[in-house]
Amino acid sequence: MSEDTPAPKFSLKWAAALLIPVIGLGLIWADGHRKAQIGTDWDVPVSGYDPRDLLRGHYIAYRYEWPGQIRGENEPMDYYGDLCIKGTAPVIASVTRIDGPAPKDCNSIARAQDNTMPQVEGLSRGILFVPQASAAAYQKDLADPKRQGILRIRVRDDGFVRPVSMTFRARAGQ
Amino acid sequence: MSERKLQAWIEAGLIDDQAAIRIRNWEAQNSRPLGLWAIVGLAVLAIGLGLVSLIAANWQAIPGTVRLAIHFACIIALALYLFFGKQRAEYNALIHDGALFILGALGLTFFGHIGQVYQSTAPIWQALGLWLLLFSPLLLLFGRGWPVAAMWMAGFIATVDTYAMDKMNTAAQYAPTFQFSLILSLPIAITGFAAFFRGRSNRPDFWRKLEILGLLVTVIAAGMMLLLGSLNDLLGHAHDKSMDESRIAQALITVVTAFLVWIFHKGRSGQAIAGILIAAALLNLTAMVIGNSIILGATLFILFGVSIAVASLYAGWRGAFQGAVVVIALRLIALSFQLADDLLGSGVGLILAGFLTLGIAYAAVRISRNYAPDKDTEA
Repeated sequence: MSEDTPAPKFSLKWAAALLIPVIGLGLIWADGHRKAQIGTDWDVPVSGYDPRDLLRGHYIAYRYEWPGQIRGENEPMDYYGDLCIKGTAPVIASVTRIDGPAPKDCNSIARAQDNTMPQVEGLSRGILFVPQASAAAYQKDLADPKRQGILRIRVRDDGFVRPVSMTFRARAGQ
Repeated sequence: MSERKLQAWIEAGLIDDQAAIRIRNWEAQNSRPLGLWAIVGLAVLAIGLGLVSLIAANWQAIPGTVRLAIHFACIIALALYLFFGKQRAEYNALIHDGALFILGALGLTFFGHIGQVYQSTAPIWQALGLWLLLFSPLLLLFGRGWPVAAMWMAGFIATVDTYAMDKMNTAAQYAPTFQFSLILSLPIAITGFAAFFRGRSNRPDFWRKLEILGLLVTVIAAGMMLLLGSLNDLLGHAHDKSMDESRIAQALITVVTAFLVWIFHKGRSGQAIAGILIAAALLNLTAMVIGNSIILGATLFILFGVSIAVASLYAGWRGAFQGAVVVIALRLIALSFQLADDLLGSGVGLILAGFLTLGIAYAAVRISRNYAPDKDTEA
């Protein structure tokens, strides 16, 4: 009966089997922590709502409303290309699509990622994990037409965009 | 062993006191504390789910880095406990396996925790795959009971499934179903993988559990494909070519697995497992050609059940035999209602289906009582 077989004595194999996950998780954490700190912060207006992801908790699924990027009749709803951001961080002065070689005078270049959760679509839609306790408040603010969600994003030099936090202000013209 | 039964037998003069003592001693040495395992399994599962819930709450009162540090400290503490506990001679398999399970759950939730704190949007299969990579040596080389075997199997299935789903969703126009179905069918191959290690490990019982889980996955997958096919037809979809590709892929993996089990797992139980795998492959292949006939679909399903029952008889598995009989009976009952469909309104059909159900239930109970292999033969 294997339940009763004596456990093997101290062994290198046992130590290694325990060390692999501990060291691996530590390295993954360290790498994630380091990468999350670097980049330029920008504020982007967004709209969105609040669903839930089992493993990571509540998140806001938002849609970017890039300044100057008006979604007209002929504009594609979702944009998978790169964006040139100009301004004085974190205030965005203008955003233009990059078609062809990137302009030299961008303050940040945001690049769409393709290996993401399905809720993230290029630089059109993304998600922000939020505390369970404040999820309801976020949802209320997002649904309020008088309030405008502002997402702080951190753009790394390689173009990776990471959402950081969300605030709300009175919507212009209201 | 029931103490009440022993007492009753002594009083009835069937056995004497000495025999009762001998029976008690033998039972004490040979019984599997199945109830205890079930309780430990339930407890560690509750702890694991609690961890998921706790992490998902994303407490704002504590800064993310601090939360991660606490989480990581728990992982290190449990690893240290396991490491130093191992040297104790009287080391208990139940506690050991429970601790391994909780360590695995802590590791899995750590990925979710990192993703939450640093706002990572990496697809879920990446986290699951990394978890599998980091924890497989620990779980597979040192696991002993059902909780760890089931956890590893669930992790493998989840990784493979989320990977294939993600890639299928992002494949722009034509999703190469055959390729993805091969990947989705990989958990079936675990049966062969476990059969290989079963003969080479000092914990054959753990690998036996993994082999049984693999077989269970195969049987469920084959049954699901058949049900999905009939559901497709029921909804009026045209004959689905991608469904055929999935069936061929699944059958292919299943046949290869049957071959591996045949080679590595000698003896009657290995032959029975290989036989069931072949039956599952045949089920997938024949399901392609039967079209949308209720009778043919049900016949195929029942034949598959019969082949499992026959294999169980051959190998001497009591539980599997009885399970197969129950499933066949349920399918027959469902079939009687399906066929009485147009008569249901009249009431006569309903009465007939009711009597048929009673008859089938009676036959199933008789068969599984009288023909099931004895309890003590083991796979």
